[in-house]
Amino acid sequence: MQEKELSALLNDERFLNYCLGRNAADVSFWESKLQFDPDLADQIEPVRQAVVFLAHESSMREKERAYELLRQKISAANAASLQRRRLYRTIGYSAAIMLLALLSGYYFYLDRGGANTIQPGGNAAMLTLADGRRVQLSDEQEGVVAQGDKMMYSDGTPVAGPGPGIRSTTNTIETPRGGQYHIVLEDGSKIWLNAASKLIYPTHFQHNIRMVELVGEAYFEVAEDRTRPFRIRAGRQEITVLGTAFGVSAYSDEPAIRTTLVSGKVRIDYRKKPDSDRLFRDSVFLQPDQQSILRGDSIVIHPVDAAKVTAWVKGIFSFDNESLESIMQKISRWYDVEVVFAGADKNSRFWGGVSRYESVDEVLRRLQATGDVQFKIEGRRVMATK
Amino acid sequence: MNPTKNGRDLKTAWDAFISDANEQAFYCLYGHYYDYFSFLGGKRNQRADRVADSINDLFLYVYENRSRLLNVRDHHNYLVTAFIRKLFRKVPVERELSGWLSEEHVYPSPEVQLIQQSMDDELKCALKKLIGQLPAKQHRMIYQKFYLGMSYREISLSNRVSEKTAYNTIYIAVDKLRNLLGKTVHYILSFIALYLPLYMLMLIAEGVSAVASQFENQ
Repeated sequence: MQEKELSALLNDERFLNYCLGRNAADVSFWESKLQFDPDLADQIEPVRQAVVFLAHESSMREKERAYELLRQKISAANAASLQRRRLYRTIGYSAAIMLLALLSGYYFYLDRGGANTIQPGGNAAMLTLADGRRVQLSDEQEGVVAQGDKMMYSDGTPVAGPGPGIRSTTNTIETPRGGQYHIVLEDGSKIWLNAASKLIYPTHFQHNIRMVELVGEAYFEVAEDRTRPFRIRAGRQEITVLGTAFGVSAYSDEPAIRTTLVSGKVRIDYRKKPDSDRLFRDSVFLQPDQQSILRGDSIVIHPVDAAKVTAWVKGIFSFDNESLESIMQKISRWYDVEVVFAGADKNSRFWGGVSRYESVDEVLRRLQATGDVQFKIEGRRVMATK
Repeated sequence: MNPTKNGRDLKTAWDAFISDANEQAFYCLYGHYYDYFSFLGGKRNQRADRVADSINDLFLYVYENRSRLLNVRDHHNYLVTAFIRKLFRKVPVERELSGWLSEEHVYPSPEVQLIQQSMDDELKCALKKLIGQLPAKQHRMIYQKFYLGMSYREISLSNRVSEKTAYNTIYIAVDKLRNLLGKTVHYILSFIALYLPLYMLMLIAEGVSAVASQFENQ
């Protein structure tokens, strides 16, 4: 076959259609043509075969080549998605760990201050300065020291700078329910304020007397100064001391005012009736380990273990033949819970001690162990049943 | 003329791929649509490499988003529409599509596959080797010319070469193959001419020895 003939064939769409069977008319045209020209048919056949083979082979190879590229893309994408999946997994793990941490943190939070476990009180107090400013005292400090006009924390950190002006001559330190605070007055006397208590003291003591006022419970260690007696006004009684340690409990929601002497000597002046205008006509003296109870129009003195009565200063609830009512009142103040007596005998007596820094559950469990009382906690309410 | 292979006939392959990521099925779809889309792209004067890229982009997407394609009912329409969108970067106008949707002119008659199948294996090997030596661009032009039946003009546009280059490329390839075919045919014939008598002799010799051993046994 001449080159011219081959190129003519390749330019002939009808021939190519015949080769590849694309067009019925072209196929029959060439078939009939070759039928009558066997020589041409012999020459044409290799060309036809070549065309057909090229068609299929090229198609296959084109696809294979393109598909190989696709495979590479897919595996690259898979690798990327694997990396992405690894990243997601890492993120997932981190998220899970963080969630876990958050949950456990939340759990601890619940554990500390949450509904199920009622936690004890801590250092908390509000200081009202003579100039009228109110300062929330730090719960990280244990106490404050008064030095004239200035107040500072026990570690020397100032509580508040100089005020705008003097409105009164007294400062007031007040603890909330569940709070306690310690204060050292300018004469060096130390006072521990129990929960829900208030101490009013002058910015400067007078030259002949050191006078403070107390509502609630406090423990005093009065610095000795024979020239200036220390006097505490608590409700309708006044306690006058020279230098001594004693506890006073004068809550307005309790009918009795108790004064317990640890050491030294105190004089208690009192009014027989709460509304009496007669000032402190009657008086009694207390000896160490004696407690006076002013209730109604009479004052009773009885021996006690003073260390136990004032043990709260050292962080201990100590009950020595104490009524359930009194105990629950202390618990109520320190844990800031409401106590409801639902069948329990308010007058049943208890002995024993437990740390004030235990959770309320533990304290109640100890009381419950006696078998005389049962407790149920609902939120911040403690039900005392028989 | 036998009906040509139709994309819709590949529903089984599509389903097999979608349901269990069967790669054979995937390749079957790929192969069919590679031809079809190359044809469409060529007819619309799109560059062959861009067409090939679009095809691969589409099938990469299909491969990676198998589970999302569960809802595709008409895979053929889906693939064609997606391909055209990829190639032209726009939503195809229905009217524009309608002229393309026929696959009738894409595929060579299945009949011609028989021709290929009847060919001698050794010859096929030689031809494959030759085709394998062609540069990618020439190879693609052969594919476009013979398999897809594109005109030289279409091929030249598709490959950004002159029509003359397109023609020459194809001429050279066919000429080479034709020569090879001629030689191989002679080679096979001479092989038969040489070995057939020897083979006959061998058979006769075996037959004689068998007869001889029978005599010995008696």
